[in-house]
Amino acid sequence: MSLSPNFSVAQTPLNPSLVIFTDTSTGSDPSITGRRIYVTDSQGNPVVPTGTSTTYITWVLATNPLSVDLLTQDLAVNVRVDWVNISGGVVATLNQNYCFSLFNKQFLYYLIQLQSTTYNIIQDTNYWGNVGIFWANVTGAITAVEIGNDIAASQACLSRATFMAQNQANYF
Amino acid sequence: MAQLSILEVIRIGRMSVPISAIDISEGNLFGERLSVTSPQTIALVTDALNWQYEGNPSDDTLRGVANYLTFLCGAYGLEAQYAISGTTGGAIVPIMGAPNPIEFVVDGTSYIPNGSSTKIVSSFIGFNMIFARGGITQSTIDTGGSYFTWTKSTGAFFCYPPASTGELFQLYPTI
Repeated sequence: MSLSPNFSVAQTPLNPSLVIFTDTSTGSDPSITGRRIYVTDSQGNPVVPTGTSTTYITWVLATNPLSVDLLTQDLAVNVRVDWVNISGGVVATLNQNYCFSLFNKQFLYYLIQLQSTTYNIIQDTNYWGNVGIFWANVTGAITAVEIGNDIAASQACLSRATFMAQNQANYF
Repeated sequence: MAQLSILEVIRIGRMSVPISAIDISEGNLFGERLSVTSPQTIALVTDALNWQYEGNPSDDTLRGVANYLTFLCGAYGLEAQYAISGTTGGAIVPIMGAPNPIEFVVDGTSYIPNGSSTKIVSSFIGFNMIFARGGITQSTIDTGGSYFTWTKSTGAFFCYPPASTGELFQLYPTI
């Protein structure tokens, strides 16, 4: 039975920097000796862990799932996994888009958690309006990929939300 | 009463959004109501709670935020809980249109043929019946002359005397 390539990717809730790649392929191909993960941001730049000299992440067959310390902030990315043979030739490949939004999701929860204990903060000038804008950007980023499969639009939303979180003193 | 789970609170939050939006949009004499807890507020807090719950369902701060969401939902939350539980205000039985009347002149092959006195009128089941024979409305009381009986639950029809060739039979359903 030939290989039907498939994989899933997810951020780790307890540490959003960590991304877990799981090979969920079915079937097999004896010529496959390894895997390569190409993560590309919305600008087409490769996203790899610090210290990596290649534009891809090596994923040996014996390791599944694979945990990679990949992110410093939320990103909308394209992930391509190549299943390769001994000479590096691509035997199978699969592309999927992802919106990594956990940093911002957790920041929103942090805001709401604070708000639940200090309800009057909602009356602060611009506070609630900015929370609404932040929320709209996070949901927009997710929707852009889930429905539109558009990582450029998703990244634009994520970048706005990330900017607000990084400058929280000005917004919240 | 058992405490609602975080997941139940999230579902109530989701359901409260349209309920509150509809209620606020209905307004009063002077337009839309102004509400402290708008549907947007409920939706936002619900999303925040849901995202954190998805990532870490054992987070011990979830209960406090869930209580906050319950507070925001208020009466809408009670209505949402009622809707989610599937409890309804009772079934509405649609009123069906009455079936068509049945009219014929008795002969050997008519709806009730010559010499017959019984018939299952299935299309009239559930309705009352007015029976006219030769243009004369018949009674269900046997006074020694012609009469008929009708059981609306089964559709069983009986007429006396039996149908005779050339007679006009008219069967009308009524509610």
